[in-house]
Formats: sequence, structure tokens, C-alpha cells
Amino acid sequence: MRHIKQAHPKKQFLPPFHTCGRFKTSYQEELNRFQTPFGRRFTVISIICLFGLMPFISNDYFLHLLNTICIYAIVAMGLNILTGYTGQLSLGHGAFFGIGAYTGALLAAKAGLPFFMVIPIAGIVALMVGAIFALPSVRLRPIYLPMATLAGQFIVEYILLHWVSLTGGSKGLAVPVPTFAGLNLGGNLSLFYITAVCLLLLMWLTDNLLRSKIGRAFLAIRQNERAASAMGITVFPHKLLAFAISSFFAGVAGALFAYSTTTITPTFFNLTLSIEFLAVIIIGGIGSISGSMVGALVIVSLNEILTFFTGYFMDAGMIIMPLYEFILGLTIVLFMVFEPEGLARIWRNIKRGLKQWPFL
Amino acid sequence: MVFFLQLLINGISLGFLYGISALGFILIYRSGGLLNFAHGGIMSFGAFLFFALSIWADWPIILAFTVTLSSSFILGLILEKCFIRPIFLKENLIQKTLITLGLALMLKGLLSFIFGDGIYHLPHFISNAFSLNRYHLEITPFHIAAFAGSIILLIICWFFFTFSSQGLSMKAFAGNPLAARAMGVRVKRVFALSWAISALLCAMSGMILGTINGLHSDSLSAAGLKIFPVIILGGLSSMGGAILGGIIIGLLETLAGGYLSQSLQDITPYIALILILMVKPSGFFGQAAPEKV
Repeated sequence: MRHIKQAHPKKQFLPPFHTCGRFKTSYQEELNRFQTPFGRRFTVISIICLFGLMPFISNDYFLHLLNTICIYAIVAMGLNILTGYTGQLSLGHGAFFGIGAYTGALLAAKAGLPFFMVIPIAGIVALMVGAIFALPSVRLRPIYLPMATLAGQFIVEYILLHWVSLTGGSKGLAVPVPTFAGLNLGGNLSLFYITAVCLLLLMWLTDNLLRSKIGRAFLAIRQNERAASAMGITVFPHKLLAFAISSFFAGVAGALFAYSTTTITPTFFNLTLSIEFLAVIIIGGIGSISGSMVGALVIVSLNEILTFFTGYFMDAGMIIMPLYEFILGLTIVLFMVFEPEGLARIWRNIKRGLKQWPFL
Repeated sequence: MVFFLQLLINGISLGFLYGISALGFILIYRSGGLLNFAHGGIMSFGAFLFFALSIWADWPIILAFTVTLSSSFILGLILEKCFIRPIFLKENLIQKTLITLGLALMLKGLLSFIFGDGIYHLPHFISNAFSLNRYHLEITPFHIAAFAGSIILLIICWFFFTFSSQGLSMKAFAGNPLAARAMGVRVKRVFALSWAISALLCAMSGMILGTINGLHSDSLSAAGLKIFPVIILGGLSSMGGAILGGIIIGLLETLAGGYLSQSLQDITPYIALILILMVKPSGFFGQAAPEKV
């Protein structure tokens, strides 16, 4: 038996001004989610703050806003998988959100299911309805999907409004409060815990999905469908999968929204809502998961600020919707012309600027 | 039988209007591969401007009509110059499509901000002497206006694209952008002109549609979105297909409204869209275009 002499690692001499930067020495390091210990610590601290601190320093109204932001962020995350990562555009997510809300409301009110079963089932129903509309168009060029989902938006809206025996028509549908083991989870505080846990869970799933083989296939399809299929990626199943995941997210968010508003009406889930979801990812940054959160924050606060100011200056409720639509449209257009990658890119630029200052 | 014939006439006149606005859409699509969602916004802009000029400012009809058409022509130029030109050369479908969505929302918000939520009625700008009411059929002046206006516009368009150098260069650019540029076609002018002509066609159909159904920014924007079934049925880039698709969708919509239920009328085109995508996605005159890798 030969004795292998262990090469003794030489003690490295580090000069006092060594080169900056982190150098990865193994593939495992490359795969790490958090490239720096700071990132991991920051995430843990922000999760603790979100759950431990946020509910106690904010009042009921603020908690309701926080819930809405979480719900919008879930939809935006799903839409980001579809639009940002796979490069397909959907104009029907408002309707799939509505499907989720109505499924959740019906399951909770008529079947009496508990909330932890209602939420995933609502997601699955939204997934199936979305697949019906996406199936014919996903196999074609990407230009057909916005048109097919637009059709889906109108058809779903019509069904929600006219299937009176099931959905209650324009009168709306009341949603019972969620209960767990005899406990009443109706208030904004307990709903906040439900939505925030859902958000974190889905965020974790999305983040890992996008770093997997499937996520890389999505990115390849976004860059060039033909090239992706030439490299052996089955384009049609992957596009359908991206669409299914994103409608699942919309459905889950819809069920949470139903619990949060307690009464849902079909007119809420219109085309403007779909465009609002698109605006969330445009503002936050197309193809950025954390950008979805920021975008949701911006859109919900914009909505609230406008409501506040309109109530303050004019006593006309009619004025708010057109004004909101105009500002939303203007925001979309300005972002698309000047900063198509949204606030995420602006944030990256600021960070890089600070790091490399004064060498810009 | 009379009921059916009446529906047929209503449907065909509605279909012609869809056809003209789909023609405008196809002009934009062929020149840059852009899906224009702001179509309904431009339609309602034309209709509301005509209303404001003829009722609020009390101008004579002919003057209001001409000013509306020319200002929508200019609106098309402005929209193209300010919003589309900066992203013109990018090959990003999402960015191009979203910008038109934003424009649509802006126009809709602006118009409902100015005109409120009520339904307005345009003046009956053609005297009733022109109506043909025979055999219990009701053919109002607006039906005739829709027919006549569309056919006149189609003839003008045909002349423009067959004989004028500008029209020929637009056609050349649609056929092969690279070759057209090499032959000296001015791309910027082609693009600006296609937006301007498209806005003009839109405003025309918006005015007549607004006269028939009453003016409401929501319903006009919704009518603008119904061109998507029309162009898919026609084959996405064929001009004759746009007119044929428009007539078929208009007929379907009116017949569904007449025989099934009034509320089903608005979503019949979209059901048709899904069915067309399932059965024959290339439409009547479309061909599967080869894509560059």
C-alpha cells in the first residue's frame, strides 16, 4: 500500500491590500441562495420583524393594507414567473384571481371547508380554468396568449355576473370568517398571519423553482423559443406549466382576498384589475421576485393615497376611478419608455453606485 | 323572417365598422409586429371629440367631422412620436404590448375624467330622409352611413396602397423590412404614417359606432377590444381578411344578441376567438410565417 503523502496546504500570505471580491472555489458555493452572510441574516431579521414586530406597531387599518399588499405580491410573483421569466403576457389574471376568490368563498360558505383546504383548492380551480383558456394559444406564437387571456377575462367576468344561482350575481357573495380548531381567525391580525405565511411559502417555492432545471428552461424560452426547442427543451409543456403555476398563484391570492374583504362582487375582477397586476410587476421590475413586493407596495399605497386625497379635496366618488386609471396608465408608459426593468434595476444601480463610489 | 333580415342588416353594418378599425390595427401590426391595445381609446377619442365639437362647441357637422378626423390623424402621429418611437427598434414583445396597454388606460381614464360616466347621444347628423324603411325593415341613416363610409374608406385605402408611393413603401416594409430599408423606404415615416392612418380609421368607426349605440367611454373601449377576434379570424395580417372577419364577427354578435340573449352579445366574439384558436389559429387568410432563430 502506497502511502500518499498529504500535500500540506501552504500557509497563504495575504497582503494587507489584497484584491477585493468573493471568489467561489466550488460549485456548491455557486449554488448557494445567499451569496453573503449578510443576505441570510437580513432575510432572517426581516422575517422576524414581519411576524413579531409588524402586527404590534400597526393598527387595524394598516394591517388590512398589509394584507392587501401581501395578496397583490402573491399574484405579482405568479405573473412574474409567466411574464418575467417565460416571456408570455397574460391579460386574464384579474379573472383567475376572481375564480380563486369565488371558489374560496363558495367552498367556505356552502361546503364549510376549513381555510387551509380552501386556499389550495381555490388555486387548483383557478389553474384549471386558466389552462382551458391558455391551452389553445400556448402552442402558438407568444403573440396569441394576450388575446386568448383577454377573451378569458371577459368570459369569466360574464359567467361570474350571470350564473346567479351559484355566484349570487351582482349582489355579491358573503364569505364566512376562517376558523381553526374552534378559534375565530376573522380579524385582520390573524388573516395577516395566514397571508404572510402563504406569501413566504410561495416565495420560497418560486425562488427554488426558478433556480431549478425548470426555471432555466423558462429563461431559455423567454430568450428564444426556437433556440430553446433546438436545445431539447419541450417548449409547449414548459409554457403551459408556467401559465398553470401563475394562475395557481392568482387563485391562492384570490381565496385570501375573499377572506380579507368578506364580500366579493364580480365587477371588481375586471380588466383594469388585470392591468393593475401587470403594473405591479412593471413598477417592481419584470423578472424580479423582490420587485413584486415593492411593486405591490407602490400600487396599493397609490390606491390608498388617491382615495384619501379625492375624499379630502372633492366630494365626488366618481372622479377617483378615471384618475386612478390615468395615473396607472401613465406609470406603465413612463416605466416602459424610461426604465423597462423597473425599480429593481434602479435599486441595483444605486447599490452599485454606492459600492463603487467614487469610481462610477 | 323580417326579424332575421333586420338582424342581418344590423350585423353587417356593425361588422363593417369592426372591419375598418381592424384594418387600422393591421396597419400597425404589419409595420412593427405590435399589438395595439390602445385601439378602443383612439376610437372613443374620435367619438368624444366629434361630440364635443358638434354639441358643446356647436360647430356645423361637416366642419366637426373634418376636424375630428384630422385631429385623430395628429393624435396618431403624437402617440407614435412620444411613446412608440423610443422603443421602436427593440425586439421585446412584452414591452411593446404593455406600452399600448398603458396608453389605452390613459386615454380611457382621461376621457371618463372629462366626460363622466353618463351616456351621451350624438346628433343625428344625417337627415331621416335618407332612411329606407320598406317591408317593416328599419334601415336608419346610420346603417347607410356605416355601409357607405366603410366602402368609401376601403376604396380610398385600396387606391392608397396600390398607386401612391407612400402606400407602396408601407406595403414593402410590411413584406420585408430589411429589403425595404435597403431600397430606400423611410422607416420612421412608414411607422408614423401607419399610426396616423390607423388612428384616422379608428376615429371614423368610433364616430359611427358612437352614433348608433350612444357614447360611453367604457363601452367604446370594449368595442375597441373586439377587433382581436376579428383579426384572428381574418388571419392577423390580411386586409381583406380583416373586413371579412369583421362582418362575420358582427353578424355572430348580432344574431347571438337577437336569438339567444342580449347579455350574451358582448362575449360572443370572445367565445368565437377561443374556438378559432382551437380549430384554425391561422384564420382565413393567414399563413404560418417562418420565424428567424
